[in-house]
Amino acid sequence: MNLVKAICFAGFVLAGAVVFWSEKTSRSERDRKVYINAFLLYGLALSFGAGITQRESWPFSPWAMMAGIAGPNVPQNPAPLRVVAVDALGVEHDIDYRAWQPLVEEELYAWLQQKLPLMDQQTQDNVLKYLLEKANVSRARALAGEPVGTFDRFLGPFTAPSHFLHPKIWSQAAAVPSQPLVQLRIYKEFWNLEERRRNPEKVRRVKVYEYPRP
Amino acid sequence: MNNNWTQRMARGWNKLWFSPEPARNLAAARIVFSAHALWILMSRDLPAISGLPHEFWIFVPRTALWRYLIFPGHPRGEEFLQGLAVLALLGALTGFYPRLSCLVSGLLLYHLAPLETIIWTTNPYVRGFTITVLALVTLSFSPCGDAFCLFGRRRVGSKTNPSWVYSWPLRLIQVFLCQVYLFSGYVKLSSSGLAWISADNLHNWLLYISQVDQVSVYKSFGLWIADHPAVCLLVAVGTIALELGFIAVIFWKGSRIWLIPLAILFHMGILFSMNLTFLNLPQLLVFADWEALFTRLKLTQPAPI
Repeated sequence: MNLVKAICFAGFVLAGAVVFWSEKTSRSERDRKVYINAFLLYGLALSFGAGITQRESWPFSPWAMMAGIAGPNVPQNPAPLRVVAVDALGVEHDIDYRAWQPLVEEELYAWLQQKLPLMDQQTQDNVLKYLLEKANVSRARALAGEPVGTFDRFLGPFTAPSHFLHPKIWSQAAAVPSQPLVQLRIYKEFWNLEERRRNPEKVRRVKVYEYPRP
Repeated sequence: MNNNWTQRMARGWNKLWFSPEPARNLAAARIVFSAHALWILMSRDLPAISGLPHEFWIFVPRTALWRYLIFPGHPRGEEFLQGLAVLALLGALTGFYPRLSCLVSGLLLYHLAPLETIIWTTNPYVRGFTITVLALVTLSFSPCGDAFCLFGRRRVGSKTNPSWVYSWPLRLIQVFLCQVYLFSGYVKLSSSGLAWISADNLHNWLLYISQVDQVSVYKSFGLWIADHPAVCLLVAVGTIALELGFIAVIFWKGSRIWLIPLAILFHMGILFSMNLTFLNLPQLLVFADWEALFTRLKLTQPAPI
């Protein structure tokens, strides 16, 4: 299907090229509008097709956003993840979202949720080793007062945010782990919305990965 | 009778797509989309994704890589392509070979944008480039360089005259933008039914987002709404009404005066209550009547070089 979708987009470009060509060659306005109408109908068919069938053919997108019903318990499948790093003293720390750049945090988490369980143990370890190294490099940069990530290297404070906003937890030096990070842990989290509203600590955590393994 | 209906359809179609539009409105769309694309592109590091370790690419289908012509392990090559995209976008922005620049940047963004999500999905929507790719490609096949060009040749004398040639590309881009709202409303109703429009549903969504602390920057506004069932219901009804009704800006220009500000307010509300950004927001500028604005301000273009 991926190749069919590529052909759909190529068709859009090709139909547009015919419109461009007709600008130079058409004898009348009426002739030219025939090609333009074909281009419009093709573009509308693809874009409405993607929306109505809810099948992406990017850049023709279904635009599904928060379409589900949110229940009183946080979705179990897939359960939200929390990636934490453990320092040399055994203390767990949340990791600033900018530490993962060039990966956007929500893309990394979605990948961890969907793909990491499909890997063998050695491959999982390789991934977590890479992430632990990235977390440590970013921690060192934050401690040195340098930018934690790379996205703001050109535009500084005018950098476009990602789709989700994330707190910049390592913006203040005091919040940055002072000890090197020696282990990465990934938890799945489960909670009831009303219970956690009353008590923010009311979360059940299940450790699903750690690197290095004990 | 049937013939009459067909004629009315044809008249409606022509009115929608070929009503005369000033060149400046189309040229403004070129500037809006190229500036916006530059903003997003310079706020990411897409070439570096190509350099991610092999493990991240194991589950990416080979067909997905061919679809976007992505070949992992070549960050330098991607840097070169990104540089080319930046130059093309600057060309589109300033009017340097505007049509060629729009085409090159549109095609390069079709390749670069999916890098952001390719490791887990081939659909990089809501990341800022979806409408941009369609818009830049559409603009490249239209006379989008007949106004607001710092360089090159323009159609002297015709540049401020409204014409149908400036209408259809702008309208198509506007339709693509409206589909964001239309399909977003449609999928809520088609997948969840009327149950989506309930105070409980919105209450739970707001609580959920405020409790995922990795994405929780603003909390108090969302929790305030969650605490008021009547406000939750009003917001849920308003969301569906706006999403399904926004398409009116295409057929009834007068509605833009209140629907566009309402949409901006809607996105600001989502930002501060759910911590979700809508990166396409600046693209709503393509609904403005730039010609009228220029006429009102009595601004004139410099004489052609």
